[in-house]
Amino acid sequence: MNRIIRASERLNAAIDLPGVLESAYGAFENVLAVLRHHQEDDEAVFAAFILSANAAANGRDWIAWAPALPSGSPPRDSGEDLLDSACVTAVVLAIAEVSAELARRLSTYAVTAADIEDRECCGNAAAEAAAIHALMSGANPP
Amino acid sequence: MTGRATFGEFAASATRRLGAIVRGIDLPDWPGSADTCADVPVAVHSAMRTLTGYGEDAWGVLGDARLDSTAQLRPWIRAASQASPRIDDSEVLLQSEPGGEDRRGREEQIDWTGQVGSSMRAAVRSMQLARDLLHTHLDPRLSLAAEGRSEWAPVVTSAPVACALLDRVGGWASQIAPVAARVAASGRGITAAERRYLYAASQRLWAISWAVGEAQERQPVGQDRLQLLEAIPVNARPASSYPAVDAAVSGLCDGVISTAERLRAAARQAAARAAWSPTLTRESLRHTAGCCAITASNLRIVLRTLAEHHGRPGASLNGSMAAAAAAADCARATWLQAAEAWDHITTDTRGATSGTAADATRLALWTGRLAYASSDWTPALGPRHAARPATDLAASPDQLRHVIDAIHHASHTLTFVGEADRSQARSASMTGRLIVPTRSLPDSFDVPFRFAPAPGTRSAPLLSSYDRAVEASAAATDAIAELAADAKAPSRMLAAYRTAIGAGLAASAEGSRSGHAKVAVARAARDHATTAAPAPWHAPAIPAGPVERILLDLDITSADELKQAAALDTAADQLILRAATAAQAARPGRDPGRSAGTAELISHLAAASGRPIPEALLPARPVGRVHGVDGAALTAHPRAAQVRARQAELEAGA
Repeated sequence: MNRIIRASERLNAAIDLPGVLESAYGAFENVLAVLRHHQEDDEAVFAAFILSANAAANGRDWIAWAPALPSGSPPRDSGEDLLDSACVTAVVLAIAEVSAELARRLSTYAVTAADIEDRECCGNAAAEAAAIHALMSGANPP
Repeated sequence: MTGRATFGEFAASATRRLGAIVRGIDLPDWPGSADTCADVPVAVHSAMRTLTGYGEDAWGVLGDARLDSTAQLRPWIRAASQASPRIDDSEVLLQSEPGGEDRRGREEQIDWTGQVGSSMRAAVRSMQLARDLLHTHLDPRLSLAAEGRSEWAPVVTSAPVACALLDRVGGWASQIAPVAARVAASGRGITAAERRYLYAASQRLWAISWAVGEAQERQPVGQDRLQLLEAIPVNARPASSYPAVDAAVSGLCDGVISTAERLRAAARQAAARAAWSPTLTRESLRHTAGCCAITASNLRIVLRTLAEHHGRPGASLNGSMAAAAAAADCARATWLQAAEAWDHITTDTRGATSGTAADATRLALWTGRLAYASSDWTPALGPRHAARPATDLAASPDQLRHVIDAIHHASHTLTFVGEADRSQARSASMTGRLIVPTRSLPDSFDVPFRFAPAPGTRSAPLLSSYDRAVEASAAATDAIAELAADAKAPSRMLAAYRTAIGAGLAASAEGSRSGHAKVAVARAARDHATTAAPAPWHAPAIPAGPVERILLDLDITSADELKQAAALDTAADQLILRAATAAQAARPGRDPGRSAGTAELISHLAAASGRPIPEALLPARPVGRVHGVDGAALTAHPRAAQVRARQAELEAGA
């Protein structure tokens, strides 16, 4: 199982704010790792992958500031596949899919979370996930 | 070079007008009627004031440089002294003449209808405008933060450019002197006192001209320095812009150049504010590094396209372009490493995006539009974009020159931004602004807070990645500078610019250490006379010590006194280090930095020593705990984290 699939599964399994934050933190980390792994595979994706990786790091750091994020070490995915054998198109599709899901789940809590700081962190992290999705799908200029 | 008014344009205008007057001297009926000559004394007086203003500027730079300079500058120092303002005979003659003040007061009211007077007045106006243009780069406020208003400030206040300025002054003086002498000899339309004044003024002008000529003979100012002076533009920040969909190559090149200039100005400002700026955020620095990697990648594509498809196969320029493309690729890789280093570290502020990041985005976009054929290229994914064909990039020699001009500016800017962001990262590290999420640390860390100061193992790679990015970007810029020189692109002045900055750095190394140069440049701007070799905007991060800072706070600008203060601070550092090393068996729990006074000394020691400081000087360390940035323990001992972070960096560096 590759890291993106694993991240999607955790995200889908999360049922409350701490769970979503925990899984979103891991998802951003995994997206970042996969993007860094593939950013030099093809000159055509270089710019989009760099900016997406920046957005993934920003999204992860926004989650880290959220008060509802459970303390303690997150699950480590270091041993799992970084989509080594996948072509660039498959990587792009996988990241676009998980980033869209991230944006959707975090946007919900950006409105409904009880703590204002949680709302702010979820909102900003959702924006970063949306930026990744836009870059992967070519929807928006930077 | 930039599309803005330059010193050279005004200076050339003055030279041209004066030249026209000088050519008329040899005519048999010159200077013609008395009306033609009536205004010459006032015009000459105005010219004298302007020229001595220039002399004052040059003396401000070279006069202070005489403290440390080698014999090379001595002829120019003498020339600057000659051109500096003084109460001399000519001035006294004009002032002592009844109505002399009235005559000077009339300067603005005279109807300059006479050919000689009007031409000279126009020339003097051009000279004044040229000087005003130079002063737009200097900050008139006297403060430690004053390092000039633009990237050109260190050039304007550099010794080589001061010598070039004197060369100009000498040329103008040699043009005005014979005019003054001839009008005085004719005696037409002037009073006896004005005649005496013109004689005295011509003698003074000849003296200036001869002093400059002698200096030029003994120690010639290189053509590159003269051209650098000519190329200094007025200080104005270009407006931000995005490329139009139908932009032509020429327009894209102009956009790259103006955006690069904007980015350099923004980066320079950000570096100066790093210790406190709310826009020093992980978002800004990550984004800037990423966009610089994209820009370097775009430059590589342009150069590679030109190398592979421009001109005859194997032509010498093609080889240089291929080498430059390889250097740009190296810069791309190092900027990528800088962006990756930010994956593992964050900042104490968040959310805000700096002007540098915004302009870096625009530069990536402009260079991308130049590199790719697609008129709607963006960094976002989309249809695969083909590179712009070489026939499009180099449709004519002028177009090729323009493209090289643009990519030279962009590459120079990458170096500039690298230096600025490295300075920001260092500042952030030294002030404890680099942090990491504690959940990203190994489990062996027992941290009760969400964030902790970045350990040296995280901050050291970040700082060294910027070192590599700066080095690689500078190498790429040097490679492109060779192309610019071959193509005679206007941007070849950038190479002279960096050389002048380098010369300024070397000349001011001692002054920068003491903080003297910063004050001197500020004073120079205030007085319209600079007094030291320039302080580079990316001056060394070693702060002034307690004694030196007190002197600076007292507005002491004497080089000798500031050097003495710096020496006292250094001696104090060494004494404390020796004593602390001897007292390694410190009492448990003792904190030598518990008072504000001793804490300041130890903080300076940590910053200036350049090596790990003895354990005995470190604050008491709670066993098995690391304080988080949002923790009470850290709030109680903010300096402890800072000193320990510095210690960790030094250990990591060692």
